Amino acid sequence: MPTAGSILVEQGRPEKGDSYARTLTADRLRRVFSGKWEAGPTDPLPGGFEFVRLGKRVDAAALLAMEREEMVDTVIGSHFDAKRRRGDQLIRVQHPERSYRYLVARDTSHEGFFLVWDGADHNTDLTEDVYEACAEEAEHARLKPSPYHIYARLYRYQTDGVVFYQIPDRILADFGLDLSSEPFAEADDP
Amino acid sequence: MELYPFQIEAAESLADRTIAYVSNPVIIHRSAQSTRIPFVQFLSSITASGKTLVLAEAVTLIAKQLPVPPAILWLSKGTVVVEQTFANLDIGGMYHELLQATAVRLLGKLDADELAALDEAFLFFATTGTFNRGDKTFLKVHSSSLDEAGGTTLWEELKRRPSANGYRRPLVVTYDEAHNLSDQQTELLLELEPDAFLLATATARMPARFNTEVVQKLKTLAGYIDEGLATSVEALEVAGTGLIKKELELIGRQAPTQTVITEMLQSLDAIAEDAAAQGLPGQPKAVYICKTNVVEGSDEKDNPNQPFAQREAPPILIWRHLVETLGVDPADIAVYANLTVKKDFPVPEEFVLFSGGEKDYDRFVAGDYRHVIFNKSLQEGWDEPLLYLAYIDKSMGSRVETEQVIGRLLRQPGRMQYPSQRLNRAEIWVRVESAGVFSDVVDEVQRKIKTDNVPVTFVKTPPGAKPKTDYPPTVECFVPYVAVKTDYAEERIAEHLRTLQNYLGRIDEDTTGVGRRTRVQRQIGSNDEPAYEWEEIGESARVTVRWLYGREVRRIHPGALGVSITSNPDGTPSKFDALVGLGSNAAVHVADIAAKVGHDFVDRVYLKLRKANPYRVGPILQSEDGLEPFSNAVHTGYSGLNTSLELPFARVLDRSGHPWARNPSQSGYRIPLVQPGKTTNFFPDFLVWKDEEVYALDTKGSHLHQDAMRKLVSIKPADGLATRLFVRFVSNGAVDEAGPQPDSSGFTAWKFLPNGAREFVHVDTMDEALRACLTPDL
Repeated sequence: MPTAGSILVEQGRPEKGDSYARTLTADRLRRVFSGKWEAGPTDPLPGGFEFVRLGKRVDAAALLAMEREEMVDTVIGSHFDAKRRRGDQLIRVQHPERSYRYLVARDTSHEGFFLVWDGADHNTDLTEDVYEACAEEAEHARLKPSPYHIYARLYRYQTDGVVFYQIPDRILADFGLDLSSEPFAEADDP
Repeated sequence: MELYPFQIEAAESLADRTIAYVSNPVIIHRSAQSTRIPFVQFLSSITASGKTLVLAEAVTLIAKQLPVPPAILWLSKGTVVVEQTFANLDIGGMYHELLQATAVRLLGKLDADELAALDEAFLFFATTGTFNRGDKTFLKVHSSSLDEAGGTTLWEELKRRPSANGYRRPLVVTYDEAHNLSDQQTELLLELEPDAFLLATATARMPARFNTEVVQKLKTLAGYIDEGLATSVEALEVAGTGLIKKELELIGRQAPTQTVITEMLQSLDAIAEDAAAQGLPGQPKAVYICKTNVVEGSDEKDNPNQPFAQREAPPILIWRHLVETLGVDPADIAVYANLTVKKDFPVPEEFVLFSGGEKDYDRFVAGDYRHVIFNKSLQEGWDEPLLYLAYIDKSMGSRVETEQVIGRLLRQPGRMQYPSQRLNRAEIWVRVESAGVFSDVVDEVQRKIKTDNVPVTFVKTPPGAKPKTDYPPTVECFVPYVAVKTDYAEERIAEHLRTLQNYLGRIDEDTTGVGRRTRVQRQIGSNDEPAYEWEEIGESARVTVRWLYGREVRRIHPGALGVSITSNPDGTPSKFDALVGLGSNAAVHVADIAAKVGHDFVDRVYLKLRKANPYRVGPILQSEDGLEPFSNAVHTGYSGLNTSLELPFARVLDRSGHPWARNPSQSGYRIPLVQPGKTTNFFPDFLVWKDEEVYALDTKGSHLHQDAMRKLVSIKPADGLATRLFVRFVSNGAVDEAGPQPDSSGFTAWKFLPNGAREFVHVDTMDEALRACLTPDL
């Protein structure tokens, strides 16, 4: 059975005008799968590709309007732990029989990642009750009792063994926003 | 990576002083020429205190406040250091986020066209390898074919360092091992006409040339005194963080290398086991420092023209013992030494040798070896926090300096303390030929710890004595942890944030940095023969109110940021998105609000027990010498209790019949103390279980009154949890709210009155004091 793999071909430096991703790479890939080359047709390869442009700006407004599922993807995508050299990826945690309210992922050393986010109109803060619930979920999922990596808007119950990630600040910073010089949102008329 | 308050303070001191000088430098006019005296700031701080972070933060702050993006020349002594630092600061590195909009390059890759094209700061790395060729010392430019930088195109371009708008970039030179600076290097660096030097070293050790050209001139012409030129980091501040290991044990062994290594490996296994259980970010490591191409135990050369199994070079003997006797996987061992190997007598394929190749250091780091056999020259600069053990051969003919290795062992992995004591300490195993040599080594190490002011507990285990060992608990005992609740502080913090002024879209005198005009040079000559004239321009860079607020709050307590909302729920711009100049009125206002927020946080949060994940009493690491057995304690006995208060109190405790435990400092049960500057943890001396209650008891010499007042905290019970926790103190003599009293007889128990005020119960005996302690608050 073929496995679903994916390769991301990143565009170089568009600000320097080297838009080879669009003009060369995409065209060549298209021909690999179609078999239609200038020099004559070849056997087309099975599979395919998609040319994706990262057009949507991740900003505070977009983040804060997210529904839970979208926020889960964003958190997993943005997570970058500078403490570890290997840059481990997060693994989505799902259980066939129950749905976790806060637990969303784990890393390779079985540390849990939690998201306190039911959409903007519900509780988005890390409170005592939330901590206890996270502890219960971590135990159920057989994750380490410490540390818990918790994404929330406010950190109202500050305790040992929690790494707190503030929404949206930390996510924007992990996506490369320079907190010192870049605002979360631009005023329309400065 | 978040900086500790003391690191921010040091970086700001370096930056503020540099900017103050650069705005108003001493310029000497001599006929048509004008020369400016460069500024210098010395940074003195102990190993592992995060010198690199502080310097990186300082250059970032300087860059933000200069009207022309500067060039930074970052010097390091060894290739190893520079590669490590470069990797950390480059894109993807641990510290890169500190540098923000700064391009990071090796000096060999300096390109004047790029400098003139991009409007951002540039940081260039170089090593100052010193080579004696004749009488001349050279500055070696790392990763370029040039051994001598002076007079080359690259050097000329660095001198010119153009910016996008025709100005010459200000130049800041940083050197993290600046006591190695030589007169010749000083000369070369001064040719570049730098604006400022940031030098990590103590002032006293600078070369004469630097003193006359820079330090003396700043003193005589600009009125500086030593204090104004140096920023220092308090060793105790560093000790209060998770940055360094807490204890260093020196273990002497009068035995063959192999025996010492076998014993040391048992220790490594114990550390590795705890590391795996407690989630250390990697595997603990050991380093073996020995001579390279000599026959072990003599000064005779090892003959490389013989089969591997017959060679007697220490690295080979250690490797063979690890692999052949102890069953270590050869893939886990690296030999990083200039070991001579002849073609006809190759080393086994699985023998991993790094002997000075170009990419060696990268490959070495990538290999993540658990056992590293080093020779002396390579030990400097390899900063691996996972390094826990060092073997040093001090037997005949070996001149390895034990004190040099201390700095290498002090870093703490993961920047935190762990519940296992083994993970917060390091061991040096020294092979000696006599007990006399061991006491010399002890003296050396003690002297080094004292001179460098290293805040580490030093333990010595002479030849024949057993090193510290684990004593497991005999029963399972738990104590709920204490959390910090913020609800009572939140309204006040929100109120402060409401009073924060809105500077969105304002570019006026309130939001513009004042008094920050800076002198910069404009290039007027051609590129081949550049000349410069001074111009006064500028206004500092603008920063977001959010960043400024965060920085100022963190000085008092970072926890307050967790309850500060700095963005609007609908994502529209908030007043925290406004940009204001550093040093502006607006910045002062933001700092003022931040200080109020920080102080209200500290004053208004309270402690509450946590239901989930309690602390479980673990094994205690202690020496067998002087171990006193106890019958009701959680462990079979304790050693090292002080005889003035702890030991007599422990005996009284044991007699009371309640289960109790000695609580090890730094790794045991802790209670957070929220106070301005940082949260420190309080590790009570003893834990006692009585009925549903746990008592955290601490004996306090009456002179420690201030300290005790700070630590006597009351803790709210957790919802749905029967256990309660009470903190109590026992002092000698009479003590009250005001301090120790003239009556030095008997003891005082510290507890709480029903109204929450402190109560001091003065009694005659320790047994009575204990009884007073072991009653719950109402």
